[in-house]
Order: sequence, then C-alpha cells, then structure tokens
Amino acid sequence: MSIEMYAGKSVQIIINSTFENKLIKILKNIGVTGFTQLNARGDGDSGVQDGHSDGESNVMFVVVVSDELADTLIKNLNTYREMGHHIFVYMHDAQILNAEKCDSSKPRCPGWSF
Amino acid sequence: MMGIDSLLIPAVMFFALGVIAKLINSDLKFPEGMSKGIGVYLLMAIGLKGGIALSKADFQLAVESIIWATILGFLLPVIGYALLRFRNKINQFDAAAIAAHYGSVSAATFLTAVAFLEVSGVSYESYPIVMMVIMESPAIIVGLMMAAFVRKRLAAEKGTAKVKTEWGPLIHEAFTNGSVVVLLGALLIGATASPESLAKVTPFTQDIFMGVLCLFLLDMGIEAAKKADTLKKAGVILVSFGMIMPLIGGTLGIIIGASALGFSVGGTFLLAILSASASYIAVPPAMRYGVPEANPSYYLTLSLGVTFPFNVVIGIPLFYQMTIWYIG
Repeated sequence: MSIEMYAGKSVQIIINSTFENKLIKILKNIGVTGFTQLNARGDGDSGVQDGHSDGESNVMFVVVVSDELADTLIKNLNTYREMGHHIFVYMHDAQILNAEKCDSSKPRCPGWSF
Repeated sequence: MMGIDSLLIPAVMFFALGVIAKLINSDLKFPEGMSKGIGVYLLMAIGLKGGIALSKADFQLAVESIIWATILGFLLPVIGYALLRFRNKINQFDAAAIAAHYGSVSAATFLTAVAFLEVSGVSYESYPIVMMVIMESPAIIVGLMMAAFVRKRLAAEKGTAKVKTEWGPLIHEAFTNGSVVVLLGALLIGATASPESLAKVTPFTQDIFMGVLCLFLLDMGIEAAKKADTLKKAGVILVSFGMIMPLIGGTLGIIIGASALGFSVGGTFLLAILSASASYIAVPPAMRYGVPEANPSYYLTLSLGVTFPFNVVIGIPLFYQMTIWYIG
C-alpha cells in the first residue's frame, strides 16, 4: 500500500446501556483518547435487546487502540466479565490511517511543519 | 362491574390489540423512545392528580400509608425470594433479581386499575399514589442486599476473594431513577401549586389521560407478546411464580389497605394492585448493573410477559371482588 498505515487493534464491546457510564470511565482511566458508540439491538443469552426500556437496551463501543492498550483494556473488561456482567468483547487487527488518533506522538497532519 | 365487563374498558382492549398485532405479525411499532416519553407523561399526570388530592388529605393517614408502603417494599421481595428458592430449583442470583421486581411496582398496571375504577364510578383515596412512589425503591435495595449476601457466602464456600459491592452508585440509582423523580416531583408540584394555575394544566394532564393510557397499553401489548418466545426458556416454575406471587402480594395489599389503613374499596383495591404488580421499568436496569450474575431474560419475561398480562386480565377483576368481599 502506498500510504503508510498504523497497526493496532479494533476492540468491540457490547453491553447493557446501564453500564455505559462505567465503561466510558474505564476507557478514560486507561488512557483511551476516543471511541465510537452506537445503540445496539439484538438477541442472545440476555434475551431480546430492542431498546424498549433501559433494562433491554444495549450499546456497542468501538475502540481502536495500540496493541498494548488493547491488552490493558481486555484485562480490565475481563474483571467485569468475571463479576457476571453480560459483556461481549471481541477484537481484530486493524490498519489505521489516522495514526494520531491512537498514538498521540504521531503528527495529525504529516508533511506539515510548524 | 365484574368478570368480562372489566376487560371491556378501552385501555385493556388496546392491550389486547397490541398482543393481537404481534401475534399476526403486523408491522405495528412505536417510534423509538415514544413509549419512554408516554411513560413520563403518565407518571407526571398521575403524580399531579395525587398531589392535588393529597393537599386536602389527612396527614396522619398519609404518614401511615408511607410506613406501610415501605414495609411492603421490603417484605414482598423477601417472600418472593423464599418462594423462588423453595426446593432449590432457581439459582440465588436469579431469585434475588426476580424477587426485587415483585417488591417494586408497575405504574401501567396501577393506571389500568385506576381506569377500571373510573369507568366503574368507584372513588378512591390518593394515598395509594404516594405509596406507589415509596414502593419503587426499597425492593431494589433488598434485591441488591440479597445478591451481595449470596455473593459473600459463595466466596466463603469456594474460598475465593470476596467481591466488593459498590453500594454508592447502586443506592443512588435506586432513589434517583427517572420514575421516582417524575412521580415525586409531580406530587409535590400538585400539592403546592395554586388551584387556579393547576386548572390550566388539567386539559393536558387529566382530560386526555385515558386516551394516552390506551396508546401506552397498545405498546405494552406488543411488548408482552414479544416475550412469549422466551416463556419456554423461563420454564414452568418461573412462569407459575409470575402468577402466584401477584396473588400473595394482592392478598397482602387488601389486608393492609382495609384492616391497617382503613381505606375504602377503591383505595384498598389500588393497594392490592400495587402489591401484586411487578416493575419492568425501574428495577431491570438496577438489577442489570447491580446483580449482573442474574439472567435478565428471566426477570423481564416474567414481569412483562407473565405478571403484567395476568394482573390486567385476571388480577384486576379478582382483586376487586376480593376487596368487596373482604370489606363486606
């Protein structure tokens, strides 16, 4: 590829919306600088999640981070899984164009000089 | 009015329409967030109505009602837990979370009962509305405490590290959840605002109230029917609990309403409905966060798919007849 891409991990987290604020706190605490959040509907072992009431509304977080940070995040989320929270987490390798979004040492506009 | 007549009120018929719509796979669906919005309206309207009546009510009886509501709120989940744990068929966390739902209340059931009384021309006291506010929270606390106790015991049995329960945010959630804030706020506004200014609001809060309730119950019908698929997963024991527990709660409500508080038939019947109903708005999120070990599909299926329809179709006429019989 002619454009240099940054290698990292994309972590997807699906959890009940009551956990939303807690999850945002966890992300900020471990140093995640940004995330994308979607209202999610679906079905699974927690029953149908159709967003009708707060007890049956899911959210999905998409977090793209460096390999090290992904590791810290997964370890952190695992403690909640062990507590019994119905949290679904999966991850894949990602090639990221906006390196600065995941690593603050990278320039936002490469090629510019100040 | 008894038997089949009690089912022939618009609110209940719209509930049935919702169920039918789902059964015939109609695409009838409310826009996202609409039922939450209607829910806030209904709580606001009933809160204002209760507040206005309360400003003219007897202070001592109001205090006694609050005390009894608190007792019921703490007692019902304990009874529910004991019943669920009978013969050790349901796991402790599911039992704690489900029991919490039955100690708390369902505003929709209560409002359907109010609609039933108004169509029948039976008057009722305002105290049950205050009791509804009070009964929202204690059961959440009891459910969380029972789960914390189970957690501690399991950790001790297995010799694993104790799991610390973060009480702060959980208690905060129990007392500041949306339903409590809107109901309590509207009650206070109704009790303190001037009658002239309140008269300006009544076209919105009272005149169209029953129509809006029909709309809400239409949606409830769709939601209740959606739960039919998960009834099988819940199993016979849980589904039976969803029908037995309201009978116990309702009977307790009648005894307390008539004998301890001296309510009329209307007021006693409303307290019976409160005690028989199971929360499906305030408690589920609190349990999802506070008792994550429990399976959410069980408690939501039970309160919305079993107990709500049971109360609307059987509970309302049954408790009304029982109240008349008990008061005599």
